[in-house]
Amino acid sequence: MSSLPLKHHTSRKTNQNQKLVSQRIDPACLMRIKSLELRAKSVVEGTWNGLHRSPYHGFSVEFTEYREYSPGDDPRHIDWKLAARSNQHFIKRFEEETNLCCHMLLDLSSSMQFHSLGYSKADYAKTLAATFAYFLSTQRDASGLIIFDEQVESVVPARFTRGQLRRILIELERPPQGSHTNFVSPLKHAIETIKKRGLVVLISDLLSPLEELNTHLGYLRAKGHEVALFQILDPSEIHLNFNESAIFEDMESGERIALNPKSAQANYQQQLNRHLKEIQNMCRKQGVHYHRLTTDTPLEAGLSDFLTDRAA
Amino acid sequence: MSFLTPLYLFGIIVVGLPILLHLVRHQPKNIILFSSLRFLEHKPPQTNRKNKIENWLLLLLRAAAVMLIIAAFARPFFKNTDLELTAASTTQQTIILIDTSSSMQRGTLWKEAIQKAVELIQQAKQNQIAIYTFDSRLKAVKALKETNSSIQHQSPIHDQELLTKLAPGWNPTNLGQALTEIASLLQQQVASDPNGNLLQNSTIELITDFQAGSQINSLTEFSWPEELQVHLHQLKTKDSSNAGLELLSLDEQSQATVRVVNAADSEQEHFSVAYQRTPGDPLQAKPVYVPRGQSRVVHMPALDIPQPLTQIILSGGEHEFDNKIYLQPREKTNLTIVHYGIPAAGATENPDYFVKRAFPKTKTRDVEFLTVGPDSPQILMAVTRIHLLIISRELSSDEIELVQNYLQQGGVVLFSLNDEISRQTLKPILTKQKEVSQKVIVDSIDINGYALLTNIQYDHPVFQMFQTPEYSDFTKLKFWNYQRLALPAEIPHQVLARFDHENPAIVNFPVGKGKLIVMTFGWTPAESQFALSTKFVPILDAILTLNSNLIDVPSQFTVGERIPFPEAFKAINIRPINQDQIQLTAGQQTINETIQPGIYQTTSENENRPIQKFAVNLAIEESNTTPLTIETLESLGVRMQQPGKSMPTSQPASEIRRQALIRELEQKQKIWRWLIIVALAMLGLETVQSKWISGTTSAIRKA
Repeated sequence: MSSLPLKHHTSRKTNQNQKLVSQRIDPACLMRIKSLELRAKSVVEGTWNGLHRSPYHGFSVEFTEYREYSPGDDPRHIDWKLAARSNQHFIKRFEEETNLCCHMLLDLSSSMQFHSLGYSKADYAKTLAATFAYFLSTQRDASGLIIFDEQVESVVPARFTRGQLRRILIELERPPQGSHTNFVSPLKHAIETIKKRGLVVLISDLLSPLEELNTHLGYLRAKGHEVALFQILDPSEIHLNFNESAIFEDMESGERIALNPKSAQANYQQQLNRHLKEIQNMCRKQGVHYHRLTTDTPLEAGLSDFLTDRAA
Repeated sequence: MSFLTPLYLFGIIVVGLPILLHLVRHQPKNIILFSSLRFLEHKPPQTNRKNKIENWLLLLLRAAAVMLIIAAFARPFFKNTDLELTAASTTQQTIILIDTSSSMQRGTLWKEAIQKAVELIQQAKQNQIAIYTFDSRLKAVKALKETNSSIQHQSPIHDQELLTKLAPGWNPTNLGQALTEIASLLQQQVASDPNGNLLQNSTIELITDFQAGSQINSLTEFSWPEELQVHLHQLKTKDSSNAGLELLSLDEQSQATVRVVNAADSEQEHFSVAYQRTPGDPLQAKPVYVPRGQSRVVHMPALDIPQPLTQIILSGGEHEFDNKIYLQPREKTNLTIVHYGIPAAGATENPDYFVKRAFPKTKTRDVEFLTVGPDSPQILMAVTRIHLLIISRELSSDEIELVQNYLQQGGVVLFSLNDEISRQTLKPILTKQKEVSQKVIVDSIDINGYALLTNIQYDHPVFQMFQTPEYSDFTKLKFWNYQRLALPAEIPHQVLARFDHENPAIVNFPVGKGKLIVMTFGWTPAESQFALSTKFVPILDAILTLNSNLIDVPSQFTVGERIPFPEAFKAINIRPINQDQIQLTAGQQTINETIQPGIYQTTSENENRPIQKFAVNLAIEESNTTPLTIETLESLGVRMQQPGKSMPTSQPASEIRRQALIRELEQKQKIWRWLIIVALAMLGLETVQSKWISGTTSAIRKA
């Protein structure tokens, strides 16, 4: 059996969470639902409202100041009463409309297409991202999405508007195109474009070299962002439980090797554990929330672990 | 030992293949796509197969059985002496065909042709060589039959000597006929050839200038043999431009109409045409503009000089051979026709009135018509000068004798039985024997209305012109009365027409050398509609031309054209002016000698036959010297060998024959059967051996 140093959160679980465990949905059943929105809704529905805390205070309707109208501004924000009085157009400015800004970085490289359970890691990761987005939208929080492989494929800037969830879901529905994983470009993009402090959630299988990732996670943390790292793995990737000899082809590089999995299993697991330990150490050093999810784990468990961890 | 189908022997590889496959390490076939190979080490899977051969004997037995079956498929056989002999038995045949038409006289063409022929003879020393020449006809210099006859004939020196005797003539080119004749000759040889591969081994080496006027159309009607190849050696001159002259017509005043033809590849377009009496003395030169590849007709001016000129020359053409034509105006024939009848000018009831008008004077003939009445003085001319004698009255005994004499010498007599009196005249003319003449019955016959002509012999010269349906209607020709003529079998005769399928109407009697035509009716309107019908003049004219002296020789011929000399004469000397005489034997109608353009005259042993002159000119086709392409012959079905390809050295036909022999030999020997039997025996042994091995292993296991 696996000798993976899995993180046990059971000691920290609250009574509320124990109640929720009984209501968890089997991922295999969940993945049969075609609609991503419905999947996310099923996971989120009536569970963790108000479980997170916002780094900002105040409310979105709070008025701050007037600014003179200039062409290009949304005319909806013109204070017409003031215009009637003074015959001048002013824009009403308010406080931030949301209290949390979450940026999700989703890896959809070729390695994420691996599957042994009838759905791929990418499907699982998409559902996870959709769940986050749905959850945040119910909390009236802003959410954004960056999909990447060897480069940034698509970007949905973080905001809380009515159609934001739909935009994110549409982007998630797109079929993946890239080949290998490169963390540099999405993290660089995030560092350069995200001006306001918030939550950055990176969802990937993290099977590529970690040097660059370590550096860029450090930059993100330095900018004051809260970073959560979700590693998605297939159970077969952990156990290498293949029976017959075969030619193994790397999904990213296309490299092939003939292999007897039985004989290679021990060495593989040793190597993998070393890699996973490196990730854990890196996250601990950087103060990053690290959560490893295998694709047979119920999503609620992973999500609730994260929220509990964050709330703690 | 040899094999009929040796390619099957490659099947022996099959024996080693299973062993190799057994020994080869297998790679797994299924491919698993995996997310990352970073944590995997390359550990090749090990197969559990044994890579060591345990039962050598079994393997050898199986391999031997497979090899024997494969060898059986390859059909082995043992060679014998017959096969080796056939390999060297075939010989090649080269037929050199040289163009000797007049166009080969241009420039250095003939020299090149002979040079090429010598080269070919040198190259084909090993082959049997036949040499032919052609212009309008094919002539054998060294015929196909001679090639096999003697060793002397096969020497190249002998062949070269034959070539030196050749020279180009003046005849036009008929390449199509020459090729078809050669191909037919070879096909005839094939019929008698035991091997049947003569055509494949024969090549026609055609040496010619291959001009546009080569007349190759006859090849369209000929099915060219697939196996027979023609190798064209086309000769070309440096100066390709050429123009020719053709005589179209020549009237009595010696005014000629000529056509000037310019070759398509000619460089000249401006020419002049002129009369010529002596070389270098042109008269009445007329400039002519003829574009390339076209022709123009020129009417030469009439010359007001007493003696007609005999040559027209063309200036401007590069090659001299076809720049001159000879003229010979047609001379008038003088005809004498004597009518023994009653002269009565202007009386339509008299036969003489119509017969006199039946022979008018024309451009080509002058007719002297003499009517001799019962009271007229005797004619004083020689009977041989009379061309036709017509009798329509009773003759005196002297006159009968004259007619008999005339007939004996080859004269033509037309006798009209127009009344009862003339009956007595006919009998002595028909025969001198009184017993026979008494058997001849001539009497009047009563006709109910009118009689019509039937049973007409259209193949006789008298009726030949009416053969075609539009002229063969004689139903409008009615006869009110006629004489019934009954002839005994002793008198030879031919009835040319009858009245209503019964009584003879027109009868031909051969008397002596001459011919007696008897009409049992009169032609006056009171007796019949004959004189008034459209048939009258043509029939009388046809009777006139029965006279053998009157064969009309035209005055203009082209070289190679058949000249119709009268058969009646034993010999005619044809003498080109200022040249040697050509002697013709009796019955010979064509001239075998190479006849060149010029003016000729005929003389005969017959003193009364006048001297006749005729001109012989070149055929205009020879002036069309534009070279044709090889594709022209190919399009007519002739199998051409590509130019530049050397003489065939491969012998595909002999190879086919050898293959057939090999097949026959293999079928006789049938070694494959024995191989199959041995293979089956091997398989039997293998079964026994494998059973024994399995028995011992199971015994070991049990133990």
